[in-house]
Amino acid sequence: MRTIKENFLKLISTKYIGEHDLLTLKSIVAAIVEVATITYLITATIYLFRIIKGPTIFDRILAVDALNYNLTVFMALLALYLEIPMIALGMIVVSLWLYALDIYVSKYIEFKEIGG
Amino acid sequence: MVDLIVILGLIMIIVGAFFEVVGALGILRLKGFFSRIHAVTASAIGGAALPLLGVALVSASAPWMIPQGYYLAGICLTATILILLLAPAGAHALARSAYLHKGVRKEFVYDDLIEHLKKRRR
Repeated sequence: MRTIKENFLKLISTKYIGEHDLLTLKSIVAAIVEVATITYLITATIYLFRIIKGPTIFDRILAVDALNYNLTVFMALLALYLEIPMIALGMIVVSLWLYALDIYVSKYIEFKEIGG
Repeated sequence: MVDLIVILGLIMIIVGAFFEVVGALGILRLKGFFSRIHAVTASAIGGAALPLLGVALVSASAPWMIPQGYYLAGICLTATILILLLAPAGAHALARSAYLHKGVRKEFVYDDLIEHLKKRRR
């Protein structure tokens, strides 16, 4: 896969217009996946800020939720970009663990116990 | 046909990135827990389930990842179904626990549900 910088350099140099490997499907997929991955990285820092700052415990749990949904999509995009699907195996575990975190925190705060 | 399905998946990934930015701005700027949980649940469905479906479409139909693309598509579909089932349930439990905690609902102007609960407990 070609990186976005090479795509941009090829796009602004007009001598490559005649070649037909500029806008292949694979390069378009690579460019869009790169931009989406950088977007998800930037939003993860905002969620980290809310985890550190959050006034109550619920805001922190909420930010951990959002950060983990972010992490699942980030793993999927990385697996699509690097063509290694073993990276994406952790998504299922992360989404299940997130539900367990929500239920345990809310049950502990509401009933002051965790057990059955 | 293959190009059309791949481009549809790419559009879903772009829309998901937009929803994720909207959710991040909401959790950064909105005031109060219940406004923030609105932003997070909107970005959980639009920003996590939608691009996972997009990744599944792209990886299942792209011609350069034929053997391992079906594997990635299966994982993405499973995670999408799990998120669609579990994210609203977890957010609902968290909101109920935050409402009953009395620390979060200080800034309410008018609270009708607590009157109803008091009436029901008698």
